[in-house]
Parts: sequence; structure tokens; C-alpha cells
Amino acid sequence: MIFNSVTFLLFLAGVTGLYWTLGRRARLWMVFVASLVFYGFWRVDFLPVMLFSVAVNYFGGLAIAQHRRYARAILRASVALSLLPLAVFKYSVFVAGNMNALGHWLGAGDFLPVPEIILPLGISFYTFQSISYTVDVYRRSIEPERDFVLFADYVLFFPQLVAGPILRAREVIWQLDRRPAFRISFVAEGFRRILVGLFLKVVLADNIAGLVDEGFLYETGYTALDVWVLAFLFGFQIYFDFSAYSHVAIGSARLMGISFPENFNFPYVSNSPREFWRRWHISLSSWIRDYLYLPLTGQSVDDRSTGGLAGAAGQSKRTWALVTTMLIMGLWHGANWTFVIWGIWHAGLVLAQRGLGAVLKVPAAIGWAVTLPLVMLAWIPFRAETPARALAMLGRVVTPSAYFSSPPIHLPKEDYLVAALVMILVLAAWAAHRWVVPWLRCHPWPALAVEFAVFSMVTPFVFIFLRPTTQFIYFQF
Amino acid sequence: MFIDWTRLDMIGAGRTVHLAYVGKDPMARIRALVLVAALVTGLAILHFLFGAESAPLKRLAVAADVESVLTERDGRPIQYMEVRGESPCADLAAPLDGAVNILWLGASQLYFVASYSPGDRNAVGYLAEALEPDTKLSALTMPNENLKEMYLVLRCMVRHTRIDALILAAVFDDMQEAGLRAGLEQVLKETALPNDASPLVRRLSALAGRRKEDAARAVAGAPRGIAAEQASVSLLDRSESALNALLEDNWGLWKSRIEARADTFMALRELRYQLGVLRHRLMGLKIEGVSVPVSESAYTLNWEAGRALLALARDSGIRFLVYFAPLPSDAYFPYDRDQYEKFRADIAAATLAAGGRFADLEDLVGENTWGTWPHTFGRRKKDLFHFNTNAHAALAEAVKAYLPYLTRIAK
Repeated sequence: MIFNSVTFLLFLAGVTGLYWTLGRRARLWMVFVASLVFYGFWRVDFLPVMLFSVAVNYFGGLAIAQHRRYARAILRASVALSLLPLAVFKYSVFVAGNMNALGHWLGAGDFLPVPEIILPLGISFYTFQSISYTVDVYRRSIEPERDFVLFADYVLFFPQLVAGPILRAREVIWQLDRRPAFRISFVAEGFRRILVGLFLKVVLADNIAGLVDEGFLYETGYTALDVWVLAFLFGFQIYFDFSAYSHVAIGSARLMGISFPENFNFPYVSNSPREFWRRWHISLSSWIRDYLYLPLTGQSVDDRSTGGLAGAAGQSKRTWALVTTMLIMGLWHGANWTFVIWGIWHAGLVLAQRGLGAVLKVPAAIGWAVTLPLVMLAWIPFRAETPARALAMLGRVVTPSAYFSSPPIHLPKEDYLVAALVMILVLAAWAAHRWVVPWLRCHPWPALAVEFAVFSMVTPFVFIFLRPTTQFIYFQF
Repeated sequence: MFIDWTRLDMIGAGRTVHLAYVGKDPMARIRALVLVAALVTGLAILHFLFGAESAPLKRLAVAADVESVLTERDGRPIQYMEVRGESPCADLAAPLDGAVNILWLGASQLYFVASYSPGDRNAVGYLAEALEPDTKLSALTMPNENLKEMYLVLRCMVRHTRIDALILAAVFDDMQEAGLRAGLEQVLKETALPNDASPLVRRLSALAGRRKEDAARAVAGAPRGIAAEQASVSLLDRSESALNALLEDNWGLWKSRIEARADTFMALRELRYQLGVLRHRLMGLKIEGVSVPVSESAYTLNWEAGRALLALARDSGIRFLVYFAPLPSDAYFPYDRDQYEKFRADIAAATLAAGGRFADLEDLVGENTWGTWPHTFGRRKKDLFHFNTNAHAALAEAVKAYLPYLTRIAK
């Protein structure tokens, strides 16, 4: 099921109604079944894969708590078993393809048959989420959950099942366990977030998608300006698309009185690459920080799903850890060398910042003016279908003559116009968030007027554009 | 005091995370009421704009005085303006059961009749009347039908039936069509077999399947077309189609959503025209004095498909006629002249090189046969593409002149 569908809205209304009326046990079972139904609307046959991951980590957590002596071995086994479906479904084709390419290069032909495998939706999200639970139990950050249904609800809770935010057990399990008294504000807040999310998705992201898809069909002959504008357009598309999912996920949970952490915080106003990762896909970057980066540097762990990459270990250790984690971050998004390029690119940006930051104090505005284009340009390999294509496009950006070709642009002018308008919109939204919203918090009646004006404009657009023509981009990861 | 949970989470000290409500929002009920009022107001605005009377969608792209006319022969449809259903190619092939089978591929010019009066026919109808009983005709004339779509349809059709002759309308305006319409996905499924090695078909599959395939990028490392196929059979697809049908049948406002979407884009385009600097897409809204090149990416892919189409016809033993569709001679010229002339030269040369016939019918239609379009601020201007039944008859006559060639082999 996807959020931008009538089916989901009806489903959500039904589940919310049941959530507030059922007793504890029935409610937990209802969430469990509803989550399976939610997933089953895509494919029923992948439910066992998901339940396997739940079972491995549930029993793994219990075993670690009961047999502390063997905790490390149990943890390793649990993590390995959790990663097994990911390896099979997500990376086996990639590995086989690369082995065969190597075989052809050596003149030995194919080494391995390339399987035709369908990637289960959200496998990377629920795998990471369930692993974080087992690791937290191992670290004694949390007690193991003994109620299987409650634990399964934590992993499978449908609003975040397919594309996050990646939640920590300590943030959510107790909320699922103890329902607060009903308040009308839960429903109103949830509905507001859902409306905003749907607006970002069906009005902005989906309509920018058409321009991006058309632009990336272009085989050759991009001017440098074309590549820049495509990078910005896709940057906006993926931001609206993914943050829309997070908004709807947060709003859906809120309808049930459950609070999720924020996943985005105006990433395109970041003044540095490190700041970007504290604002973009926060739950993943903090997961990577806590379960990969900090252990690799030997530092202590802060097990919250908010925050960003940080640390103070030795220079070489930190560099190695950063490159490793960014590579894994890239591959987490997809089994393709394009994502590896994207990961290395970002590792390079952070390393450059570390190096320059030690000798150069950059004003915030200049930091933003440098960071934004570099972050946007990184979306080119992320979106391109092959590394060769990505490198060819990036090559145009660093070719001086590509800035002076005639005509200077090949893409439709409307692409340029949309990119410029959306950039203004993003900055205006941030400015409003920074300066207008705090003022409105102190002036409730003007705030109500603004709220009324905004939602009476947003509602018609969501109403007419709501249709499941496109999936959320992050479903594929 | 009202503090939300997320905020508390972010300020949680050290390893202790506080997630709890502290106090109540005193404005909660009022804010909820305001939200409801906003939702109702939003829907009321929509109802005011679109709910009272459903405006015909065609007014968005064609002149006000045109009507769509689809041709039937012996009580059976032989002209279609869309592809749909489980087996669209079989439907298109159904009329082609004669000794000689002719397929006509064109755009909306072939079914819209300007200054319509009951009984008026279109060019397909006139040609069908002129055919001998054992010569059968089927026409697919989708709005803005582009060469990519024509190519896929022909690929699909030749697998279903014997086609002896092909009539193809070459329309420069449709070279700017970058996408494939949703209904073509089924045609692609019938056309793009998993082992199909054609790079062009794979690229077209990506184009059509992009939306659904992004659903899952379902097959890791496999061609996108397969992923699209896998994703398209979900329970969600079925439930959405059932719910939409239910809502459309019982709620007029829901049914108006398509027009509302189109009107939204039209309003944006109108704004662009007033700015007078940006590219146009819909025929009826060309800006006088402005001519802008067709997007090169769209043009290139369409042209590639066009060449593949001609090669397919040649390789399948199909005799074919490509004609340059009529344009009004007395209206402003909306295209980039160099690009337009190149297209004319290229299509003629490619047709002849592939062994077909080429007819330049650009100046075939007289001045007073075109529809008229209600333009911005109450002005009217000429519909550059759709003409009356007399012009349709003239077009059919011009095509008829090539029938001896088109039907020679089968005879």
C-alpha cells in the first residue's frame, strides 16, 4: 500500500478508529495484522521474509539477555541472519553481475548465473531497525522485549515499515504498549502532517518527476547548465518525495497518539556537508553513526535516532571509518556502482570540510553557497542508471566549453524556471520556519488565520492530484 | 504549557530520553476546528470551480466548435482514440480480417471535426467508404499520438494479424511528446518480451514503466520493464481502480479531478504566455510571435522510434504511405523553422529510403476549414490542427490516390 492512494486513507481511518477503541491485547494484534495487510497489498509472498527478520531479532534479543556469556556470539549470529535476506535479495544480482564482468574481462566468461530476484519493499529499513534493537540489547541500552506481538509491532508498524524513519526500540515500544488518553489534538496534528506530506508528494515531487524523467532520457549533448539544473531538479524531487513520506508516516502515527522523531530538517540550507547529514534522512545517518561509525572509531554510542555524525577519535581512524560508513550508506541505497560513487562523493565532501575547516573559517553564507551545489551535484550519480552515464554527465560540469555551447541550454526552459521557483520556495519555507513560526507561536490567533489559509489552499491541490501514479523513491531501498 | 514529544526527545539529556506530553495545548480544539473549516473551505472552492458543470476536457486542447467522431463500419468500430483493456492490440486487429488489411496511425486530427453537424464524417470514415468490401481498415488516432507510440503499436499489431498497408501521419507537433501514455503499458507488455534485445524497446519500457517501477525498483538489476510488470498486479492497483470507479460514479467532484488537474496546468501555462517567454506545449495555446525549438531529447527519441517504425514496416513486408499532416497556411507559424524543415526533409528521405511513399499534404486544407479557439481575454484564434468535414474528405481523397500502391501486393 502506498500513502498517496485512496486505499491507504481508508485503511488508515479504519485502523485509527480501531486503535482508539480496542483493549491493549486486541490493539497490539490489530496493529500487527494491519501492518501485514499494509505490506500484503504490495506482495503477500514476501511477508515471510519480513517475519523472519522479526523472529531472528526477537529471539536474538532474548538469547543475549539470558546468556550474557555468549552475548557477542549470539549478536553476531543474529546480525548475520538478519543481513542474509538483504544479501540475497538486494546484493546477489550485483555481486553476480560484477563477478561475471570480471570473468569477461579476464576472458573466462560468466562465473555465476545472474538470478532474477524481486527486491522486497522496505527490506533495508526493517533490517536496520531490527538490528538496532538487538545491538541495543547487547549494549544493555534496553531490556529485551518479551512480548512477541509488541516487538513485531515495533518492527512492522505500518506507517514506517517501508521507508522509515528508522526507529529505535526505546523510542517506540513503550508508546505502542501504553496508549495515551485520546485527545482531539492527536487527530488534528496527524491530519495536518498527512496533508502536508501528500502535498509535497502529489503536487510537488510527482510533477517535478516528469521533468526529471524526461531530462535523464537525454542520451548525449547536455550542456553544463542542463546538468546543473537536472541535479537541482532531482535534488528537489527526492527531498519532497522522501520528506513527504516521513511527514505522512509521522502524521499517521500521530493519529494514534504515537510520536516519531523527525527525519528531515531543511537539509538544503546546510552550511556544510556535515550539517547536511544532520538534516537529511536523520534516522539513517544517526543509525550509521551509532551502529557503524562510532564503533569503528572506538567511541561511545548515543542511541537516539536524532542527531548526526560526530566524534573525536584519531584522525586516521576517523577517516577510515568515514569512508567505510559512507560506502555502506551508498550501498544501502542500492546495489549499483552509482550509489557507491554517491557515497564516496559525500565522504570526500566531509573529509574536505575536515581538512579545510582546520585551517579556514568559512562564513555561513559562503558555506551554504558551496555546500548546496556540491550536494545537489551528488544526486547525478544517485539518479543516473549507470556509472558511465553519471560520469559523462558530471564530466560536462567540469568541461569549460560545455558552458558556452550553442544553444546554451537544451532542456526545456520550463525546467530552469521550475528549478529556480522551487529553490525560492525552499528558502522561503526555511525563512518562515526560522522567523515567522516562532512569532506565530506567541500569537495564537494570527497563527489560526495562517493555518486556515494554508490548509484551505493545500486541500484542493491534494484532492485533485491524489493518485498512486508514482511510488515513493525510497521504497526501492 | 504545550510541548510536543519530538522536541522533548531532541532535548533529552544523555542516555535518558524523555518522550512525554507535558500539559495540554489550550488551543487544541480550536485548531482542530480551524483545520476542519479549512478542509471544508478547500473542497467548497473546488466545488465552486468544477462541481457545478463538468466542462468537456477536449476544450483544453482543441477549438470550441469541434466534436470527436469515431468511425464504424458494418456496425463495428474501426477507429480508436485510446488503447486499453487486457489485449489492446487484439482489439485493434479485430477489424482487419479482409483480403487486404490497412492500418492508419495518426493523431487527433483524424477524429476531431470542426464546425460539426450531425452526420459529418472524418477522413477515416471517408476512406473506409471508398474501400472495396474485402479491404479492411483499422485506425488508431490517439490525441498527440507520437512516433514512439506508433512504433510500439505496430510492433504489437504485427504479432496479432497480417497488415498489408500502413498509413502514417507525420505531425511535427507531436515530436515534442516525451512520454508514453499510461494505456501503452499493456501494449508494451505484449511487445517487450523479457528477452527482447532491442535497446529502443528497453528504453521505451523504462519510460512507460518508470512510475510503477519506482514502486519497488522491484527487480534488482533486471530491466525496468519487468519490474513494472511485477508491480502492476498488486492488490493496491485493484483496490484503487475499484475505489476510484465507485467515487467517480457517486461523487461528481471526484470525477472532475482530471479536469481540475488539467486546468491547473493550463492556468500555469496561461501565466507563462502572459510572461511571453516560455515554451508552449498544447496546440491551441501557441503564442503568436513565439517559436521555440522542440526539446531535443523528446525529438531524438521520437525520431529514433520513427526510423524503427519504418524499418519494421519494411521488414514486415508492409507497404506504407507517410504523409505530412495538413497545417493552416494563413496562421502564424508556431515552430522553430529550422527544426521543422529538418523534420520534413528527414521524414521524407527516411520514408523513401525504406521503400515507402511520401505525400506532402501540408497545404491540402483550405483557409476556412479550421476550427476556432477562444483565446486569452476573449479573443479567438485559429485551431492549427483540426478542420471540418470537407477538409477530412479532401484528406481522404489525397490518401485514396495511393490505394493502388498500398493494396497492390495483397491483390
